[in-house]
Amino acid sequence: MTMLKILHVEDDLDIQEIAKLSLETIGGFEVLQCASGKQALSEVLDFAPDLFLLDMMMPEMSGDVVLQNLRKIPSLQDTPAIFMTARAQKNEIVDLKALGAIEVILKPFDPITLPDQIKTALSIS
Amino acid sequence: MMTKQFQGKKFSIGFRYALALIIVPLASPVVVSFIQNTTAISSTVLGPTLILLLTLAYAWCIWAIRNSPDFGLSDEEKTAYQIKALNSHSIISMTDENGLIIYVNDKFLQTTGYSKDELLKRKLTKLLPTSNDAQYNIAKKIISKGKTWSGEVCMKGKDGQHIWTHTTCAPQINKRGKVTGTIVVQTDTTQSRITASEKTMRESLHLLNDEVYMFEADTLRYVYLNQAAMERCGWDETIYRQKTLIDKRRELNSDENYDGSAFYERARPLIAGEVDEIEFILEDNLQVSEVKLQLMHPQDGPSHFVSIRRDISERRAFEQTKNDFISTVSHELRTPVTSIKGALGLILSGATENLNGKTQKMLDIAYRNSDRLTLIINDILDLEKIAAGQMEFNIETVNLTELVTDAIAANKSYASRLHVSFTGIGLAQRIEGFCDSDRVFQIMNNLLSNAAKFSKKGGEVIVTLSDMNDRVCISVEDFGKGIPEDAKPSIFDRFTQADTSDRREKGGTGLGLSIVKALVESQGGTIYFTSEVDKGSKFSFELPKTGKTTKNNSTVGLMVAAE
Repeated sequence: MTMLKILHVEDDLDIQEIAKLSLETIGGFEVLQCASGKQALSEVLDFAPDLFLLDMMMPEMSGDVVLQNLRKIPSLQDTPAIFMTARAQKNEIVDLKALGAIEVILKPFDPITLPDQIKTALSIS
Repeated sequence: MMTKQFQGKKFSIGFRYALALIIVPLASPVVVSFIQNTTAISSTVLGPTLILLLTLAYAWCIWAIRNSPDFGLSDEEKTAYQIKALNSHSIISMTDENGLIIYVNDKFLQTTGYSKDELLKRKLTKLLPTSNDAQYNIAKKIISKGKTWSGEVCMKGKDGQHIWTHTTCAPQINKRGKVTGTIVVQTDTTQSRITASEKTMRESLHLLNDEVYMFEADTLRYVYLNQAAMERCGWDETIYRQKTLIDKRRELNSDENYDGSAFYERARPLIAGEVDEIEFILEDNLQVSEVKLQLMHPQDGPSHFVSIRRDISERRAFEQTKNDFISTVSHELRTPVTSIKGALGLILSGATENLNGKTQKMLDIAYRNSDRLTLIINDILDLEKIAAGQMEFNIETVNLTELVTDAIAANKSYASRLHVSFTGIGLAQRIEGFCDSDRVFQIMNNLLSNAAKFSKKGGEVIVTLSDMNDRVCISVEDFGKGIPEDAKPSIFDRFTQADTSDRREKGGTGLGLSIVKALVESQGGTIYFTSEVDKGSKFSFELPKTGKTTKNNSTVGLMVAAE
């Protein structure tokens, strides 16, 4: 089985580090991490990910805008997306899912179970 | 007194002039011949002069008789007229020496709505509100001394209506100087009082900061605008009386196609009598306003709408700032906690490298506390959200029997780790409540984990669901350490646990019960407890069983925003 490729966009470098360890070491995924939407958009085509893992609250471009821009690229229109957010209200989760995400993961997230959460979301969708 | 004065004179003034009318012509030939005999004036001069004088005297007599105050009336008639006038103007009653009513006039009966039988031989105090006791006692004292008392008296009519009167009470005194009763003469001043208070109200209405519009229900023509409303429209009184709601929308909002149908659609529940008031929000570039609309049906005129518009821009801005703050804090606090907790979790899981015993122990403490910090942040944000009215409640009919059963199951493993068991009572039949199922589940989790936490090892927790007419009661009872008396008043306060050492020993944020209370109350419920040290505690909360028909303001608001 080929390794699942995840594009992770997260502005907080500490969280990036933790997520990298979780996704690569525990989950066994191949991960490309970007600190901004702009960086993600410039690097995404070379990487060709199977999943977007997007932080919501980021300066300049928030997670939902990043997704909108990624979706403009024809080859990425059907790539599943998961949002991570620290502002979780029931209605916000519903709104985020309406933007085309298969799952919304709340912060603080548990790095031990994060890979499983992603796998479950993918298998359901 | 007046009759007495008339009786003292033998002939009235009018009678004397009438007498002169007869005497003057009879006496004049005698006077003429006397003048002719004693003077040298010729009869040709004297004759016409006398005729002229006589005519003038006659004319003056007739004028004097016509203007005489007692022309044509006997003293008895005059008294009767006075009594008639007095009776039609005044409310008159008489009481005996014991204060029992012995006479009331028709006006008294008309004004109060009582019949004669209901009043005679009854105490006059029957008609006075108890708040008048002090005034009544003063009047009684003055009258008993044989003096007259006057004052403003509020009486209560048969239907409980207030009747304001200007009242004079005069004592009846017998020949020996003893007070044998009271005559009470009252003038109804209710109407003038209402007029005066209406005037004050109208003046305050006019100066109100909120805009007030009144317009006819069928034509939408304005009948009243207060000052603030006139300022917004740029109309004065002469202009607005020729304008309608439609003109206002067309001129002020440059909405040229507006025909009023949108207004009638919005006011439909008011017109149908389904609600008493409709509230909605109007937003334009400059201002956010809250509008309250009512439909009045006055007895003496056509129905009209009353619309009150209040500027809530500042309130909105404040709420927005507060909401933004909660949101920001939520994000700013959770981000570093995510790193701390994540990093510690990875180390402890052995994903990085193996740890020695001491390091493991220290990291355990750090991890446990980062967990606690997360819980506190979540709890504080929950409380803030409830306080700011931001917490969403999805209130609907909920099967509480199922919910309580599920909540017990969900907390079972936690309780069994503490060797505590749950027993459910009243879960055989289906009981419904009108609430938010997620929030009630949250409340149950809190109460159940608390009960388990504070139970003795091997203890039991009894959960009871009971139907109480229009409410449902859920109680959670433990037989653990109980709450000391001095801690009881503050048990629902933030960061309160009966024993501060509990927090480390038992875990928990110290915010649980204050959240529970806020959640219960936000759903229209109540919460209370009983507790005794070393015997246990019982926390109960009640929730409504059905929804009351409430105004759905948010729906109206959305409708307007969409308009």
